[in-house]
Amino acid sequence: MLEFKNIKMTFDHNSVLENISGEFTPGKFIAVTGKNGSGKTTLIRILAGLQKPTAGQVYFYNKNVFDISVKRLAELRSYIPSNSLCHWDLYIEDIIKLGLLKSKESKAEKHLKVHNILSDLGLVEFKGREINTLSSGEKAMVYLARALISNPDYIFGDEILSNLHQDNQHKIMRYLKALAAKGKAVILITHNMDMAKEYCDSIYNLDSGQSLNTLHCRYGQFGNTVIYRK
Amino acid sequence: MQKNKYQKSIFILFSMMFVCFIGSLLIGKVNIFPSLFDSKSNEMAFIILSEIRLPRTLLALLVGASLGLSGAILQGFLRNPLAESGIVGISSGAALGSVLCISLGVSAHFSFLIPLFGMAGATITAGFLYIILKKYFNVYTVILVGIAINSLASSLTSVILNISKNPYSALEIIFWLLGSLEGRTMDHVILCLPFIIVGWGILWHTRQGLDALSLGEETAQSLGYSVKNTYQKIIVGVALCIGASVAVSGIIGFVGLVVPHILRLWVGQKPSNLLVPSMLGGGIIVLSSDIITRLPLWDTELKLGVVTSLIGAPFFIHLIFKYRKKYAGI
Repeated sequence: MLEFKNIKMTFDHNSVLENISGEFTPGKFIAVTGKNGSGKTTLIRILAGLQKPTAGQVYFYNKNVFDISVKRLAELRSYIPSNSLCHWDLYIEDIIKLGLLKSKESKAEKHLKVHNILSDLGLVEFKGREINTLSSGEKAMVYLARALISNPDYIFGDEILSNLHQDNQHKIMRYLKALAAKGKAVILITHNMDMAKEYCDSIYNLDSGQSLNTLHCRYGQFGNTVIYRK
Repeated sequence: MQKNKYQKSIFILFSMMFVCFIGSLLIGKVNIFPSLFDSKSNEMAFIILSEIRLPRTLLALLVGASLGLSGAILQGFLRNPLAESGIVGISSGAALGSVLCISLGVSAHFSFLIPLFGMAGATITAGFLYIILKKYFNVYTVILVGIAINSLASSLTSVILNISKNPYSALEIIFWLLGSLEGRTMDHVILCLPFIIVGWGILWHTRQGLDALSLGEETAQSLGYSVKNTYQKIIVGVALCIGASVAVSGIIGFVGLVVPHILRLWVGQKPSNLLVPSMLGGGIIVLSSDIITRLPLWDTELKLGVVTSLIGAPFFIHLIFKYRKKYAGI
């Protein structure tokens, strides 16, 4: 269970987020939408424990995210930034293996996990290729594989569908939906409402950092997830 | 397949280094080869080997490996193929310390003071960088400060040269700045060895962080690698191994920049896979350049820093043109 209470964020006296609260439960595929500059990325970064909020708390299973060790946090959640890129022309196996850097597993175990995730995502044919030889859709799949290989409970993705062809968007959304069905929580920032409506369990709209509202909910309004104005 | 390639490259580089090592012991002004097997004169030959050529050879390896390693680490950290240890400002700081020592004239009595002053210069520079890093962390702030320190230390070195009244000490400073391993003894090796080894150890610890940084700072952070921690380790590690190297050898250019480039084409671009090959490659280039300085083709010994750049620069240009498509992709 991921809970966040009264998250407030200001950058140089500019308020970006104002008292945002809510909770995300495992097993749900959630989309977060909002205008450019509404604070979506900041919110997701705070929830993923990558940025300290000016005020407010984030709890993963009742534990403050900033009290969780970096190693445990790396197992608990993954984060895929917008415009993912790889600065060096690495082999895709090496890139995917970066998701297991903090893990103490043996080389053989890591190797097997890489193989499994590649076959899950239908990427086996790209084995032994360098990332720059792939198309942008294929690259997006590789970065997704990197985020999923550690088998995290929470997956945060920041606009990972942008610049992708419809077919690839559907492919990724189908896979994420299947993950949510297996008990993972997937939280995706997206501007693509059609995709979100088709696949996500609920969609939140972040309104200028002021409030997080349920825009659409496949299974009706659930619990405390409708978010409060300050 | 990739793993075999890596091991093969390490094996080949190690063999090349071994050949250079033996070559460095055998080649010099005096041909010791015949006297090694002559019972009358072999004592002299052994003295030349152990007192003159061995320390020099060991230093060339230590300095070359430090330059190669620091270059690979900084290029990996900044994800910029133009980086090398000079941009941190530590080598200029070390050079300033040594130059100050020469100009004060104390080095004439204790030649040992030159590396000690050099290390003090490196420590002060690194300490300053570390304080700035703790206070205002931003990679680019720190790099820009490093470049500024680099210029400041170089200009202070020029000031010392400028106001030097003694032409001999001015000449000594210029020669020292060109980088050389001439006349270094086993004491120099013992002096710099502990710092260099500890520096290597610290830099080695950053390898996973460098790999994580391939995917950008945000992803690295989400994987549990703090950019700030990694850079703090790099500053301390570079200060130790480059500070100690410059303190004994003077400034040797181009090795840190060119070696990781050459090896990236061979062993691939994964930052952690470049570290050991860059150390071996740096050792090979400095050692072979040092052999060239000693070839009996010139009346005076060429300076090591001159030779490394003289060989390195044209070779680098050749590589850029040969692999320009690959570089464009970076």
